[in-house]
Amino acid sequence: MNLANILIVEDEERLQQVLARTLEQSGYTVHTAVTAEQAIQTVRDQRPDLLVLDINLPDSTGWDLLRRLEAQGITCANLHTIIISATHPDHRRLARFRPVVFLAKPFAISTLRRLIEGALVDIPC
Amino acid sequence: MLNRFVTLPFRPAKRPVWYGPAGYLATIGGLTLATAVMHALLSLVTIASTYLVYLVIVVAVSVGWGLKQGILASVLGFLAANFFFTQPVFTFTVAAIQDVIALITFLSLATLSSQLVARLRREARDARQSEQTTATLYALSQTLTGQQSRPGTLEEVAAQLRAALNLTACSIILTEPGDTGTASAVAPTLVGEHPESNTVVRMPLLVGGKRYGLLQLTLPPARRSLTRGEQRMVAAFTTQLQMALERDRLHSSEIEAEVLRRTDALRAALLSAVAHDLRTPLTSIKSAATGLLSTHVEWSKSEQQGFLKAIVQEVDRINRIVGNLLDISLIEAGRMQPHKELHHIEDVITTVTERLSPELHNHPLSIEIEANLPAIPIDDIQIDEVLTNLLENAIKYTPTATPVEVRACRHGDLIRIEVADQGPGIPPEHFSQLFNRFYRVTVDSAGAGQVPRGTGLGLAIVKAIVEAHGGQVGAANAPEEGAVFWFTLPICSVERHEAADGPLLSHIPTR
Repeated sequence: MNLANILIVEDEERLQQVLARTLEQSGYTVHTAVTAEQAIQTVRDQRPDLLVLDINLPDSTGWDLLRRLEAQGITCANLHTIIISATHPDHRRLARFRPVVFLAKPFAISTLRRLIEGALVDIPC
Repeated sequence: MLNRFVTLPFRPAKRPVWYGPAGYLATIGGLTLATAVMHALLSLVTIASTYLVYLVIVVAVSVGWGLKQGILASVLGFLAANFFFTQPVFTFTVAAIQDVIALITFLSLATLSSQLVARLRREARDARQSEQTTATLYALSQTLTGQQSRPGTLEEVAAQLRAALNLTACSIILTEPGDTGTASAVAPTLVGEHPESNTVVRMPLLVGGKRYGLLQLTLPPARRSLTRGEQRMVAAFTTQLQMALERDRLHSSEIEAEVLRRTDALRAALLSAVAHDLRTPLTSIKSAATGLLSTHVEWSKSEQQGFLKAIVQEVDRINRIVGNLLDISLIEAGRMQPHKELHHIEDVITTVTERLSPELHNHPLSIEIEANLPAIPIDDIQIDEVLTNLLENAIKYTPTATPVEVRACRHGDLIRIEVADQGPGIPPEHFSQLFNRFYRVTVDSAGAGQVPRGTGLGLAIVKAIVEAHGGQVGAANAPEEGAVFWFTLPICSVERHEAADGPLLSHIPTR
């Protein structure tokens, strides 16, 4: 069963692995990226349906990545995005990239899974 | 402001006791001599010239000694002129009316002259004294306003006041504001000695209505009190001193407030960084644990092992962050003292690299240790931390798959340990502050601004530990690419301490 394509952009290697394995177990196709550069490449190549995005990236920030994707015509309206961050939510930016979803670290895998299911409800399998 | 003090009376300079009588003797002697000479040359002198000669003597005596001697000279001159040179001579009777007028004119002129001269003399002396008083107070206020360092200044001020008032001793005793006693004197300044028998004058120093200290003046043995002029000068001086103390107090409280403000800002930055750093491994732990708990996923044995391993490693990472925080608190409290024992640096390097192998698996690691390095006196737990921090930094700040190298070699009586990476290197502007507490190298990314990473404690801890071991730390960019962090440890610090400084041995307990 192939539910949907998910790209995880997270520089914390261990978290990235845990998330990828769990989501793969749930039946999603999972791609991973560590830097913003890799993420843009993967979005272009793999056309994911959903983005799980960390804010602190080694070469940039998650917000910057969203801006660069927007410049290429990929917005949070057509690419579902879940921001995961250990810092307080930046409401101004969240409003700017509506309908982006914010998930505070640390979170339960089940919460992430529920958010993904909710976002992808309209994606045909 | 200083003009207020200019007219303050000043105690006149001491004159010898024979000064007054000598004046009278000189007056009588001068007049006798002049009279004798003029009498001998009686055929050559007129009555008018005798008046002029006596007048010169009157003025000379007035200039030299003052009013009383001048008046005496006037009266004696008048009598001598009458007795020796006015017809009939050798009597005090005067025959001609013109002579009467001349004699009276002489007396009046002589008295007036001596008064005039005496007044000029007094004014000149007053002017000199005023100038001296002004100079003294000016010097005192210069000393008080010109410097910030209190103990030295107070000593100088006390010395100046002692010299100005011819005191046996002068001391300024400062107490904590509001303190009523002098027991907790914080800066007793004493110039000269306080003999028991001498009279002591005490002036409280009040700052903002609170007692701030005491000005204590010990008078010379013969004196029982200050003159009114001196009292006024001391009062003026006390005011100056109080103003200086007040200014000093405000200045130091301002500095304290600034230090507190900066410390608060640093603490806030540290707290938010620590919170972020703790949440990151917590996120991995929670994800792994909740993943394992998921009921609708079937995990294989090896996947379960992987998750559990991740949890254990992330717990270790949290523990290291907490350890760093504890270290910083020890460093801040000045209690970072190594418990040294002889260890081979190779053992420490092996322990650290093995423990960090999960983090290091993305970075090819090479270890190069010079053969036959001697065992050195170190606190292995602390040096372990130093290496861990340096290696974690190398991992954190360099791209995946770039090699990391650990080197150890002997440099004279030091062992030098280097951690070299092949990352982007250290931006030159960061070098000066790299080892400062809370300082973080920020990653400048296009459009994203500065992204700081980590708590900024690691290198500060490295520096504190290495320096507590008597070594040095440093960082440099490698000529080709990447950064090199190095530190040195003395090989024979135990022996050196024994030879150079006995008490330092107490810092090297055996465990």
